Amino acid sequence: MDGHIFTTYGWLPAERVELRETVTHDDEHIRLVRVDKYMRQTGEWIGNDINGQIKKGHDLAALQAQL
Amino acid sequence: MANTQAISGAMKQAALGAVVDGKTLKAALYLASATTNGTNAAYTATGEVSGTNYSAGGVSVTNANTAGLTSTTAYWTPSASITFTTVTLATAFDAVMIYSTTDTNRNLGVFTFGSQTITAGTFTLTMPTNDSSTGLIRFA
Repeated sequence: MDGHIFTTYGWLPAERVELRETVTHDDEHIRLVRVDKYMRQTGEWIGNDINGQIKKGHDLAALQAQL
Repeated sequence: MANTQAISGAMKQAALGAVVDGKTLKAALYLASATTNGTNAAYTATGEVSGTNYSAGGVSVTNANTAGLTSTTAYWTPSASITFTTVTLATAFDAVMIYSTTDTNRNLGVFTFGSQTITAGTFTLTMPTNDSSTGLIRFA
């Protein structure tokens, strides 16, 4: 829903929600950012999103040796 | 010039393409307490997360890419982010399995990340660049 953020109270207008980001995992394969959501007026925690950026996937390396 | 032993890139691309090209794929999340790994031949409900707005079996994976080849490395990546929308998963989870419903739920790969919980939120996994260096699945 445009201009709204999903929370424990359902969809709220974005201006009522404060977002705080924390990097919770970061290695060569993936970076995860947790976005905690707070009611701007009261400071109540009202949920969180997780945004993961996969940087690099899995290799299947072929072992190629002389017979 | 000298001869060089190698498994051909064409073979790797054909092998990877056989399991991903045109297949219907899904992604399922697993609890941090689960033991999901490469020995799982297929999707399993054992250890799968459960919670509000999460359906067993997970979500569809957009699969418009076909297996590519650069030099002798074959590669493939889903063509869009994998998203679990407005879910609440209160028990820690740390892995996603991508599997093929076209091929009796064949497990294509398990990908782990740090332990997470999510409340009234969206979990988005953005894919890497689809090339021979960073593709999600690569046969090197």
